[in-house]
Amino acid sequence: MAAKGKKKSKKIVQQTVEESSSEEEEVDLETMERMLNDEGSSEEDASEDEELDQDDESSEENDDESEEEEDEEVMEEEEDSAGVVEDDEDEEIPMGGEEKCNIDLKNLLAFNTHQVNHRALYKKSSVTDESTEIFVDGMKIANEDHLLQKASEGCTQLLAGLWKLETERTDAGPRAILPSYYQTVTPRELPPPAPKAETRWEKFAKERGIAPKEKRSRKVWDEATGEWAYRTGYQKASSENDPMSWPIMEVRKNQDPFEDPWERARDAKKARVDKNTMNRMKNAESSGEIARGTTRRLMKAKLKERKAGREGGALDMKNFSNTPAGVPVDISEKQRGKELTKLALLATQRSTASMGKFDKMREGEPERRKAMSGLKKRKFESATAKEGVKNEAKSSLKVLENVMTGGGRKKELAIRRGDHARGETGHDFDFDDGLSSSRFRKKKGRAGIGKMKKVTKKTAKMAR
Amino acid sequence: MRPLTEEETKVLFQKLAEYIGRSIEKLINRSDERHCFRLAAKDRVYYVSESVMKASTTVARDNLLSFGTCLGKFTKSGKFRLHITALDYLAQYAQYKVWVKPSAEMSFLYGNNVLKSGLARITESTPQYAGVVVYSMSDIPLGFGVAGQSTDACKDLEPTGNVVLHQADIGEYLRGMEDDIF
Repeated sequence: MAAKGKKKSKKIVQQTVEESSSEEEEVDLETMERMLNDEGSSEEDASEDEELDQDDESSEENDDESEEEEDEEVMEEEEDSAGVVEDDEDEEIPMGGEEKCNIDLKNLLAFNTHQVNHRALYKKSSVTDESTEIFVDGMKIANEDHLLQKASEGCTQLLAGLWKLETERTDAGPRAILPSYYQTVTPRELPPPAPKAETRWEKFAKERGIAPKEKRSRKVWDEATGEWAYRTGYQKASSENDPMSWPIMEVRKNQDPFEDPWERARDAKKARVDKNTMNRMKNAESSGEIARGTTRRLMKAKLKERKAGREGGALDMKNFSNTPAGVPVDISEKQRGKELTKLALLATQRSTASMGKFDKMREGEPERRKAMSGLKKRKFESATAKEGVKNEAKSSLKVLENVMTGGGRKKELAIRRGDHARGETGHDFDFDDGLSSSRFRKKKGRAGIGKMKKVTKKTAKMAR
Repeated sequence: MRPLTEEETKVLFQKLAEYIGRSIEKLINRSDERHCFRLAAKDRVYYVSESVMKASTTVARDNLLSFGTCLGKFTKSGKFRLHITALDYLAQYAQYKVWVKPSAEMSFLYGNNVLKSGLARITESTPQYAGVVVYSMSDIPLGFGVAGQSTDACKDLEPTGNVVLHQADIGEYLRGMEDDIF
């Protein structure tokens, strides 16, 4: 079962390694092949897959790739013709002056460590007319054909190496058993995970020599339903020990008989769970996985939230009344203050279709205030209007004039003092802040309510 | 970006008038190009020329960080607060001026009030609580503030008494008290 488990495309690597004597190479290969032959059928799966690749793949490789995508390494008879089978290990003479490659069968890699033939690899500016590339002096152009040839050589040798492996018969054809070891050792991508820190319990158990508990089964037999059910969690098996399933509970000594015992049981359970969580987090804290103080903060917040929820719930229950509607309820407790009474009156005064305009005044009813007094409707002012800035300047000057002639702070203070009020109290009338174009003035007394009269020169004189 | 409402204009002018009085008119009617006040970035007031203002209308509201000169901003309670960026115009038309001694310059530029001991010159007839612009002895505007005492009262003030209550100074550009003075 040494089938290759990874779906990685195989790469034939042609390394341009500087120099290496051919003798050494042969020795290497020989030892390697010897090792190849006495491979055991270990069950190791390919776990590492760093491969270097530089060059393009031949069509043969593509064939190979598609096969590897299945989990098995199936070798078909067709490839036999393409690949060169070298039966004799000792006299491995590559065909047609091939360069011999180092083969890593576990990784399905072939390394060509021979010196690169520069003359063959780089063309001499023999540019074909069909080429659309632009060439510059001194630019080197790799000979694609040469590269392809080298790649196919490596591939051929790799396939030949595969054929030398032990095979087993399957219904899809012969299957090679890959060696258990890697010829090329690739480093792991990430550093190994840090060793797990000891928890407080583990440390304690070690000191006392307490053996770890046996693992409990996840499921237990539920006698009530006659089925296997989970020990904990959703749809867990009902247990006699679970107080929540008891229909009746004994009130022990020193216990409040009016307290809800199930609530107490629930609380106790929650406290136990919390304690466990806290311990777990504290362990994580001491091992440096989470920041110090997180546990305390979190547990405190949790308790606070729970308490707030309880209080809120209790409040809801208190406010919840199951008195039927229509039954007179004594509301004497709830008294409106002066402010709220005023506001309620204000709202009531305007709560007719005419906004209180045609309502009769009741005895002792205070003056009605205009609903939207003091609010001016804003007109849209375009920022880009043709005459916009000019008009704006005009109105700005107007405002400036107003500000400079005491319409500013002094007047504001005067308004606040009620100097400009024309009624008996400071709130009786709208103020004339001098900004509005309005020349209306309210009449004094009840006649002024909701009615406006234009002030003419004559009436103004009369008013004085 | 929008023009100021009447109420906003009033508040702005009231504040500016404390410093430059009637010269606000010169800001509105300029000989070179028409300028206007614009409210942008929610509460900032910018004093900007018409051409720049029109060009800036092409920038989306959220993307428009600044244009023209930021005069200040409206506070949440509706008052107007002048920023140090407005100093150019305040210094140009200032009604009441205070010159500080070179020894007191640094203190003012670090955000402190101007004390009597640091006072070199002051405009005659400065009323109490008037807006004043603070200059160095070489007539470089350093910032502005509020006159703590009238000119007459300043004369018989002890050396540690506050003459100018600090509002803004050019040190703010470096100190970065507010990130958003522009």
